Amino acid sequence: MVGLDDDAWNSIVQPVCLYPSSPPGASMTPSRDTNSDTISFHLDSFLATRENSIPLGLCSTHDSSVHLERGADNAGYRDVMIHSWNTSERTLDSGGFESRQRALVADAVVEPSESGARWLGIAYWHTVGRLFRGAVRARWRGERPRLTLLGGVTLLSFGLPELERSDDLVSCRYAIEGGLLASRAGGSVTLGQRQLADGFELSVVVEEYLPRLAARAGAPRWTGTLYAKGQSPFHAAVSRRYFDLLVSRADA
Amino acid sequence: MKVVVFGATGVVGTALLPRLASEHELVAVSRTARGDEPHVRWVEGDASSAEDVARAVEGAEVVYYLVHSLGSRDFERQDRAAAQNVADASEQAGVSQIVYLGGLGDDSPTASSHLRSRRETGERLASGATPVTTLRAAMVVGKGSAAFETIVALVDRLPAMITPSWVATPTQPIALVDIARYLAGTCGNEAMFGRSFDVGGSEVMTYRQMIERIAILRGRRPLIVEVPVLTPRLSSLWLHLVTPVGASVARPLIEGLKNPTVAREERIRSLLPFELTTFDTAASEAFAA
Repeated sequence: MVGLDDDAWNSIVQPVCLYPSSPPGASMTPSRDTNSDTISFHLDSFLATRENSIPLGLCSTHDSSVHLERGADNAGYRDVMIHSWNTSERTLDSGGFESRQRALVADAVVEPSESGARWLGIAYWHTVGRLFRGAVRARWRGERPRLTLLGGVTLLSFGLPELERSDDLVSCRYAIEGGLLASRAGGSVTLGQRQLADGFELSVVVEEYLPRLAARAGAPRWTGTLYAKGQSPFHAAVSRRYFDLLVSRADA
Repeated sequence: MKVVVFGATGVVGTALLPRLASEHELVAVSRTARGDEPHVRWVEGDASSAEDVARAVEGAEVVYYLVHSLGSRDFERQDRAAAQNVADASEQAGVSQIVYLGGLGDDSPTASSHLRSRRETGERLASGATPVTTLRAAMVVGKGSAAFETIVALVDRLPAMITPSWVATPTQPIALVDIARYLAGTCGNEAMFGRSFDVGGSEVMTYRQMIERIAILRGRRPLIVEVPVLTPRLSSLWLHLVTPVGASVARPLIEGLKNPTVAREERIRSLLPFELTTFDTAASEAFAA
């Protein structure tokens, strides 16, 4: 665990990322997928009022009254509020892993264009690099990212970005092609922005990923501890910072 | 239409003048006296002088602000002051539009002093009543562009490079000819008044990929080793030693490389449609110039 900054640590060691406490006005229902090894938590209703908005960047969901405070270095950083976010993860019937993080914002963070979709992807890999202070970062072959440890060991490799844009959806999907943390090629990471009736949903979805560190089918659950306690929390931690980056850069 | 260009002797200004000269009454402002050219009237003046600026913009309808004091010790303060002069004088003279070339990534909360200065300059220009059109670009690929020349010098002079992690940052360089075309198309274009546009080049690439592409064009194969420990200060001193770019220019540039400089929108493509120049073509043209 190298090179993590304090904020990153806070978002990982506190259980708020995986098990967010319920902000005022929202209800949270824990549910166990019958085919799942993992309990997933969902906020049943996103918050509708600005009063209950959660400033994602600098506070945990334990305290929804904290507001963004920007120092001199952050001049011009707009006080964007993310109304709410949630995170869930589960194991699918196929044995693949699924992790979803979503955030609700009032305004679009990207326009429905190829550039907008590409930015969703680039910002995600940039967030990973910042979270780990460059120790884990993306390297690129053309537009194919490779997540590396110290610029060398390939943790995960990805295919070309598949950009999608329509009036209500902008997304960037990368197929997982291999790497040290994947037991085999398969699955994907999709970064998206979807227009809702009264705002926009930002999402990070890891689907059908087959982690090498997870427990194998039929094996005792403890054999997956390295994944559950070591790797898995980073999905939510990265997403949380990613949403923050997107909204902070949306007001150009 | 009377058009005034501040920063006319810079890389971008020089490429822009011929495009404007054919259609407009053009006044180019320079700190040193120059003889008039066909369709271009040169005016001696310094953007840091309110009097000089007021005299230059008198009667103008469009003002281009392409000034950048990068390399000066207090470039941030100088740029803010000059931009404020232009904003004030433009308002006073009833100018219809100010066109400004800013930097992609300048809105990042962790922006470098260079990019922060670009943003503040834009804010100062917009502080008056004159509508500002801001084009935000990453590295300009062309002869004389400091960032581009730095990379070319590295490729030409070093058989092996130990590079900091910023070489993995994505960027979207734009050809000099394309940025000049966009700037020229902005002149008096009312649909662009008071708006900001990202202007990306034809390809997204990392700085490492850029180094490799330039190396191929130059017939070289440098060994590149990335390390996470090189600080901007060390990097800039190294560039000072091995390239023509001074440390005072290199450091703010390098500090700006930690954040992606990639277009997030492409609205300008529908307003000013043309085929963008590829990186290889732009670089080859720069070498030939």
